[in-house]
Amino acid sequence: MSRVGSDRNSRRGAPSPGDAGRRRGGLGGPTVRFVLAYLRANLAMEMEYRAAFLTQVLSMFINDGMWVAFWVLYFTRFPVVAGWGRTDVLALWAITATGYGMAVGLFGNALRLSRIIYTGGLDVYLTQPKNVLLHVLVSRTQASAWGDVLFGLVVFVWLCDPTWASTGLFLLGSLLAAVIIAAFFTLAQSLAFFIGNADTAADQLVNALIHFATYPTDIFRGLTKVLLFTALPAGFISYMPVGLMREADPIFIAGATGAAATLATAAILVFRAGLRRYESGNLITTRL
Amino acid sequence: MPSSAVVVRGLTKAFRVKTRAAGLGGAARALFHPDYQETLAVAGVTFTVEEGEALAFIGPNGAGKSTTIKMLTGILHPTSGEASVLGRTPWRQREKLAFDIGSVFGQKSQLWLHLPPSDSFDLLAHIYEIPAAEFASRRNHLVELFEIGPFLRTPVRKLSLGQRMRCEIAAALIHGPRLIFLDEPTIGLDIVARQTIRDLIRRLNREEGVTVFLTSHDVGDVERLCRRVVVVNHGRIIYDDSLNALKRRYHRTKYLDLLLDSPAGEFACAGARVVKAKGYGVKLEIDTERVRVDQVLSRILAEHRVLDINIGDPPLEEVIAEIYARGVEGGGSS
Amino acid sequence: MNLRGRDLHPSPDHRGSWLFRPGAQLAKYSAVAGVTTRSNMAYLADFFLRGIFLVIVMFVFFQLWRTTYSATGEDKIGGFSLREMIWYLAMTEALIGCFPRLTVVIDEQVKSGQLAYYLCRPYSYPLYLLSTYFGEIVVRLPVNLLIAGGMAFLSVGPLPFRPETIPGLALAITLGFGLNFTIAAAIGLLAFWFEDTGSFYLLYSRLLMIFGGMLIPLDVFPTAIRRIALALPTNLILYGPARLFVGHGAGAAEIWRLLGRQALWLGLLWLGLVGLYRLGVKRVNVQGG
Repeated sequence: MSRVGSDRNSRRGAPSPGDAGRRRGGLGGPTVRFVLAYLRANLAMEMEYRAAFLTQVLSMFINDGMWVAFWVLYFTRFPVVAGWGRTDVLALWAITATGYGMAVGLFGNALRLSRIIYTGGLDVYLTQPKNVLLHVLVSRTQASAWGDVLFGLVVFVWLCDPTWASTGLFLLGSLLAAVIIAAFFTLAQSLAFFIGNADTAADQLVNALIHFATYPTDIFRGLTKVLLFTALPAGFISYMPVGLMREADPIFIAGATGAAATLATAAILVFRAGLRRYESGNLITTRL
Repeated sequence: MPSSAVVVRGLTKAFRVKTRAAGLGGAARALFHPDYQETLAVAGVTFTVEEGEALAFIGPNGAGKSTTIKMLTGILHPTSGEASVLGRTPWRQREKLAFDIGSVFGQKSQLWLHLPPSDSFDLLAHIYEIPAAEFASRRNHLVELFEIGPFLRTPVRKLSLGQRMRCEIAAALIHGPRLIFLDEPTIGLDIVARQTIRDLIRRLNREEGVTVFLTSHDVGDVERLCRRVVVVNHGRIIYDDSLNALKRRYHRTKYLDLLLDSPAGEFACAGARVVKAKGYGVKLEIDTERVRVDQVLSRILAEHRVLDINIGDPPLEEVIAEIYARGVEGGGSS
Repeated sequence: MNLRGRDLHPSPDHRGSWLFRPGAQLAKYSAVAGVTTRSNMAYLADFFLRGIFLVIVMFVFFQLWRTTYSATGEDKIGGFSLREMIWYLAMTEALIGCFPRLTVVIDEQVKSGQLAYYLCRPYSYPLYLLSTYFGEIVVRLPVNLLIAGGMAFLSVGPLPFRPETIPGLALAITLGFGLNFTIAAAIGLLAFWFEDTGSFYLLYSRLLMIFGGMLIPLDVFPTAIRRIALALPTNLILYGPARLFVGHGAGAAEIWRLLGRQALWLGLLWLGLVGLYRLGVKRVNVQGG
C-alpha cells in the first residue's frame, strides 16, 4: 500500500464491458461470473505491458518490505510493547496487505471513483444493464495491489508459522479487511457526488485509514481508540492479530464482521443517493 | 552578400530499436539476447539555407523532419554527416548556438502555465543574458507587434490558444535570434488566429531579416510564409526548390469550372474528365499535356453557351500530397 | 526597431561563460528558481491540505514512541529523550515532505518531448532542474515545518533549541537537499534508458526511510546496520540535519565534519549526475519523424 495519488494507468482508456455486461443485475451466479470475467480481462490487459506490471508489483513488494523491516528492527530492540510482539505486527501486515491488495486488485477503480464521478465518467456505466457501483469498481485492476497480495501471503507463510487453524483465521481476517477497505474507499470517493472534486479529501481519508491500520492498535488510547472503531474503522483491521489470530475472540470477530457489513451497506446506500443526484443533473461538477 | 545560415551535408540518423517476439518466451529472450532493428530516420540529407530565407521543410509523418530539426538544434547527435548552423556545429556547441536561435514547438509550451507571460519573458531575459535596457525595448516592440499587451499579465492557462501562440512566438524572439525553427506553429488555431500568426512571421522574415525554418502540415502556412520548399520522405530529400517552381511543375493540371445554359449531358474528351456535374454546372479536370484548355473550351462552346467560367490550378495541397505519394517526376533535388 | 541580434551583442562571445560572466549565469539560475517559487505559490492550498497527512503521521509517531518509552521505562533511547525523538521525527518528516517529484517531472519532459525546449536554451539542464527543485522547496519547507513543528509542540512541548546552531543547521539542510537532488535527478535521467523510473525512485526513497534515519534515528539501530547506514550518503540527507536540530553533534568540530562529508558526497554525486546526463543526451530518441 502506498500513499494514494499517482495514476500510472491513466493512458489506458475507457472500459470495455464486452459479453459480461449483457445479463441483468442481482447477486448470484451471473454476477460472480461477470466479476470474474472482468478480473480476467483486467489482468490480461495488465499483462500486455508485462514489464510495467511486474515492476509495479515488485515496487509495492519492496515498499511493504521496508515497513516490515522497520518493525522487525523495532521489535528487536523492544520485544514487547503494549502487549504486542514481533509476530503480532507481522500478522498485522500480512492481513492488511492481503486485504488491501484483494480490495484494490478486484475493485481497481475504488481509487479513482471521485475523478470518474466529477468528470462525468459514470455515463458509460449508466447505459449498461449492470449495477453501476459494482461495474465501475471492477472495470479496472490496480497492478500494484497484486504486489500487496503477494507480499501479505509471503509474510504469512514464511514468517507467521502457519497452521491450518491460523491460515483459516488469516483468510477470514483478510477478507473482512478487504470489505472494510473497499467500503471505506467507496464512501470517501463518493463525496465527489456532493462536493465535486473530492480527490484530495478522499486521498487524505483513505491514506489515514491505511496508515492507522498498519500500527498496533494498543499504542492508541482514549478518544483516538474510540474513533478507530467508529468513524475511521482502522481499529477493526489493526486489532486482528490479537483479537482474531491470537485470541479468536468471538466478540471481536462479531464486531469486525458487523463493521464490515455496516460499512458495505453504507457505501452502497451513499453511492445510490449520490447517483440519484448525478442522474438528475444536480452535481456541482465540471463535466468534461 | 548573404551568408549561409544553415549548411547540411549528408546528415544521417539511424535509430536502434529493440524488437521482441510476443509472449513470455519472447520477453525472456529479449532480456538476455535483445534483437535490434535499425531504422534509418534520416538518410543523408544535404541542403543549404541562406540568411533571410523562409524555408518550408515538409513531409508526411515519419519522414524524418523532426529528427532533422532536432539535429540542427543540437538536441540529437547524428550518426554521420555534417551540419553548420550560424557557423556552429549544433550538437557540439549547443549552448553557444542557443543564444542565436529560437524555436517554437506547436504542441509543447515553453511558458509557465500559472504565471502571466510577462514573467516568462523576464525569465528569458536572464536565461539569454540580455541587458535590461535592451530587453525592455525589445519586449515592448514584440508586445506591440504581436498585440499581446491586453493579456500580458493574465496567467497563461487562462489564455485562448491563439493568444497563447502569439505569446509563445514572442517568447521565442525575445533574445533576437537570427534563425527561428517553427514546428507546427498554427496547429489547433482558428482561421483568424492562423492568419494573424502567419502575417507576423512573414513580417519578421521580410522586414527584419530573420531566417525562418518552418515545418507544418498546414499548406496555407507554407504558401503564405515560404519562398522555398524542401520535401522530405523516408529520410531523404525528394524536392528542393522554390515554391513557384513547385507550382509551375504541376501546372499540367487545370480545373475548369463552368456554368452553362443547359445541362452538360455526356461530355467525352481525351485528356479531360468531369469531376463534378450538377444541374447546369460542371467541373472539369484537364491534363494540359494531352489537350489544350482552348480545345476543351471550343468543344464545349460548340454545344452550349457559357454563363460563367473559372479556370484554376490544383490546390497546393494536392500537389504536395502527390509528391509525398509518388516522388517527383524528373527529379527535384538540387 | 531591429531584431538582428548580431549587432547588439558584445564580442568576443562570452555569453554562457562562468569564467567571464559569472553574474549573468547566477542571475539565470536564480531567475529560474524565482519563477518556480512564484509558480508554486498557486499550489499553496494544496500543500497545506497534504499537510493533513503530516498531522496524522506525527500523531501516530507520538502515540508509538510515548508507548515505547513508558513500556521500556527508559529515559533515553539511543541517546534520545522522548522530546528529542519527537522533534527529530518532526524534522525528518518535514524535510522529506518537501522533496519535489523530480523523477516524475523529468520523465514527463523526456517522454513528451518537452525536453526539446530545455535543450534549445543556453543553460545546463541539470542546473536548470536544480533551480526548479530549490524553487519549489522554498515554498514547501515553511509549510511543513509549521505543521510538523506544531504537532511536535502539542505533543511534547518546546525543544530547547540553541540559536547558535542555526547557520550550521541551515547549511546542513541545504546540502542535504542538494544530495537528495543529485540522487533523485540521476534516477530521473534514467528515463533516457528505461520506460519506468518510478520503481527505482521508490527503492531509493524506501532506502532513505530506513538507512536515512527517517523512521528511527540511526542511533537506535543495532551496530552492524548502523555502520552500513553511516557509510552510505543517505544518512546525510535526513539524519544528519535532524540530529543536529535536536542538539546532538552540535559541537563546532562535529558540525564541520558533517558539512564536510555532505559537501564531499555532493561533489562526487554531482559529477556522476553530469556524466550520466551527457551520456543520456546523446541517446535521445525522438518520437515521430
